[in-house]
Amino acid sequence: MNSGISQPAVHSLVAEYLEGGVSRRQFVKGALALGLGMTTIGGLLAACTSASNGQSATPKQGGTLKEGYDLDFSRLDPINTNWYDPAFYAVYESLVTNDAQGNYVPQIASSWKVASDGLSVTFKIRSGLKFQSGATLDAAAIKAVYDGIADPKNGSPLGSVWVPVASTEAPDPTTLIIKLKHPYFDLFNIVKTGYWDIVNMAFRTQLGDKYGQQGVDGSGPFTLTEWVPGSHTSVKRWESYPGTGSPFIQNKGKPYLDGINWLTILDAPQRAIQIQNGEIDTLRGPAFQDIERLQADKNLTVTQLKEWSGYFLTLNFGRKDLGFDDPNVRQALSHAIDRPGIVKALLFSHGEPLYGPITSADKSYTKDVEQFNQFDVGKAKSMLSAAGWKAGSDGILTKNGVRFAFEMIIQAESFNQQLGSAIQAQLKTVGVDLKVTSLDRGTFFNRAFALPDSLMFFYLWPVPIDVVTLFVNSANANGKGPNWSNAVLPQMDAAVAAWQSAANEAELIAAGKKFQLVVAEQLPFVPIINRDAFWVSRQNVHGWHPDQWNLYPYYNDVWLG
Amino acid sequence: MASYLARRTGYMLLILTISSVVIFYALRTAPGGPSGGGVLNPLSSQEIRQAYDKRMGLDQPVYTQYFIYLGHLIRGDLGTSLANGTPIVELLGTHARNSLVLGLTALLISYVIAIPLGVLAAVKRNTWVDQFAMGGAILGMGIPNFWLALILVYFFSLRLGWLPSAGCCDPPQLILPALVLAAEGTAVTMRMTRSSMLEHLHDDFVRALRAKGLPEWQVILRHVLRNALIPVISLTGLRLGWLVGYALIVETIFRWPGVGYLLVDSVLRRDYPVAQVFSLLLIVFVLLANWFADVAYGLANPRIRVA
Repeated sequence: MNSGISQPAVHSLVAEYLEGGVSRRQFVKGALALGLGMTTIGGLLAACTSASNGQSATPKQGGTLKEGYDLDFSRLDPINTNWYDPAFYAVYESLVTNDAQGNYVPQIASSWKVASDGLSVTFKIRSGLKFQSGATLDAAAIKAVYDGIADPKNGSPLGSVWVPVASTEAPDPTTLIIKLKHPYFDLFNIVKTGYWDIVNMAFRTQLGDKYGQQGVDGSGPFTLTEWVPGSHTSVKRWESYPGTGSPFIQNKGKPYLDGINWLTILDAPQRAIQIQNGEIDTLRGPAFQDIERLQADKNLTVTQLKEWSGYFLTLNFGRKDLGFDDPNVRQALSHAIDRPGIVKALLFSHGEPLYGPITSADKSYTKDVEQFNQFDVGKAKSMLSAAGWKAGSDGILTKNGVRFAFEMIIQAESFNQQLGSAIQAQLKTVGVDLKVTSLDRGTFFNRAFALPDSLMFFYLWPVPIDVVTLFVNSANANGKGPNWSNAVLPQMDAAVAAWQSAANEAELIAAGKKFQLVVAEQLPFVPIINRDAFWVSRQNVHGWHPDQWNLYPYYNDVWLG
Repeated sequence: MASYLARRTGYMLLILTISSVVIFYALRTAPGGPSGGGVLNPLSSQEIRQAYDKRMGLDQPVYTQYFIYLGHLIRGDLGTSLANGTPIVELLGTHARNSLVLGLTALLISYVIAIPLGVLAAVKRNTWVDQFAMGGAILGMGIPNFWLALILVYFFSLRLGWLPSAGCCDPPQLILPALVLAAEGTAVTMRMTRSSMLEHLHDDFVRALRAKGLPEWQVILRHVLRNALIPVISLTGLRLGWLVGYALIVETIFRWPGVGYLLVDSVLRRDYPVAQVFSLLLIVFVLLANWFADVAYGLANPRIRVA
């Protein structure tokens, strides 16, 4: 603490905050007035939250946590799900996971070793593990899952990121060897995701299409009670849970909670109302306009994290008449987008502009991407002019009798609509006539694979470059996959190959930087913005700690006071 | 009367058959589908999507799919939800029950408020009571129910913290959606009660009852109201149809898992079997309500039977 700061005044402010005499917002204002920096204030708040959450108190058994969720629930089948939701963190486990500092730590595996040539990884599997059905969970069971992902018949949409894996072997119950076609350090980023959670394949085969709908069999601390898409997902404590292998989880035994009930609340303003009204205990993703109000509510704790997500728009390279196959035209349109303005107006400054494909919080982020895609209307206009586009009588650009007009499809959701309108208005300033069409989910994806002029998409993924490879890889062009720009760029494919063949973390980070620069310059899609993640809890919830490195919190330590 | 009944039933079956064809074709010809992001992962490859369509019989011509569906329907097999694998019979049980609870509560609220206020407004015609009641009725008919829902949530959930803002199925969670669903019906019923009461208040039999020295409250409640309620009761048949329409909105706003909520959700997901059955169910409900109203009119007025 700085010598010029009154320590008694700070102690008094902290005491008042802990007693509930001042709100979080008032605390921050007071601390700033006392001359404290934001880092110190953040540390004090975290300490206060821990203290007020009763970390030192004895956890109580029982109760059902009610958690609000801002998305709909996907089928609870890791191999073929739309997305993985918080319930995956309760019913399943994976080989490894991240601790709050982003380090890889054991979960089902107890240790691992990468071969010196980088061509295999050997995992030691904890012995004595079972699935919730009582079936044995050993190396052979994990091999069955990974072989299942590789088998096209099982329909994993992510088979392409598993291509570097040559085979999986289980020489004994506690040894799993993943053999690689070439070094693939990114493997750890892949197997930690929910798509590679370990499921009892025999049970999955038995249930067929109904797996993940009518039943699941994982090894997590809770078992599925009910999955109702559009409404809720419920789980109850697995009484035979053998305990976690992850060192950062304090509760080494069965979970404290009797159960968890996640409620999907798609109406953004309703999420804040429900947590303020005590209808739910915890919440993911309040509307941005409600965050200040929630932060001021002394009954709530608001956690703000960087999110591994991004909004981008595609420009179909097939529209040669509009010049979308010309990087100068793509860059011109990108320069016309005022990303900082959008962040301020639509995200209430809770996010950041994306000049490259990924958030600045990523380990491999490079600031070099910021030399591209800066807001500069003058530059945008001159680049379009150089490409032969001239303003027509109505102010819209024309070239060879073609008006610069195209359609962008978006999913019908309020934020998408706001963002689509903002982009539409900004492109208008450089003479581009953008029509925004809002579609329901089913229609959107139907149109997406028919390769529209343009679409806007939001991704969320724990290691963003992995999912971005799907959008830019030429193997996914022509409707074969989600390369909706139909972009075939040799530099991009080379960058994807370099990312997928990095032999160690240093190589992976270097490949990631190069990858970002290629995307930022060549623009197989136009990155727009990244939003922050917000989590809210009521004061009766303890041991619930969303962190930067896991998409959702683990529920082993959670208890209700 | 028998031929009248047969004619009304025939019309009903004809409308039902045409509706089932229209619903079936409209769903199938709308863009997207269960394999195009509705049920399957949208990032799935074309091969995976095609395999799914084949497994579910969605690759066959629409008319073939329709006759297969009709065959199942005739055998009493409603099918299974593509989205969550639950038999539709089960979904029908839970969601129809929830809708029924909400609808009946709304009807009850509506009559409990509307009839006494309508009577009072008629009896105290052109007084502040009448103006207050009719002002309320105009508001009830004029305020869109989604807006009313937002206002009630703002006051009773956010500001006062008295009631839950959404969810199912505890009694407190029923209050706000039932109030919103009841609003317009209350207003219409109140106006109808008032005008019907006014029609009868000066009838000869009323003058005779008063001349006999019957207390005024007995004249109003036992005799005038009894007659005045006939058109109000007839209106109930029509109101059931309105309720079904409004329930789609109200259930969605309050996340009340009734028939309307499930129908909207299943259409957005392209969960064809659920959307088909629940759309038809709503049509059956409205048709039945109208059928009963027609039959009741026929019984009450024999001239209608030959019209």
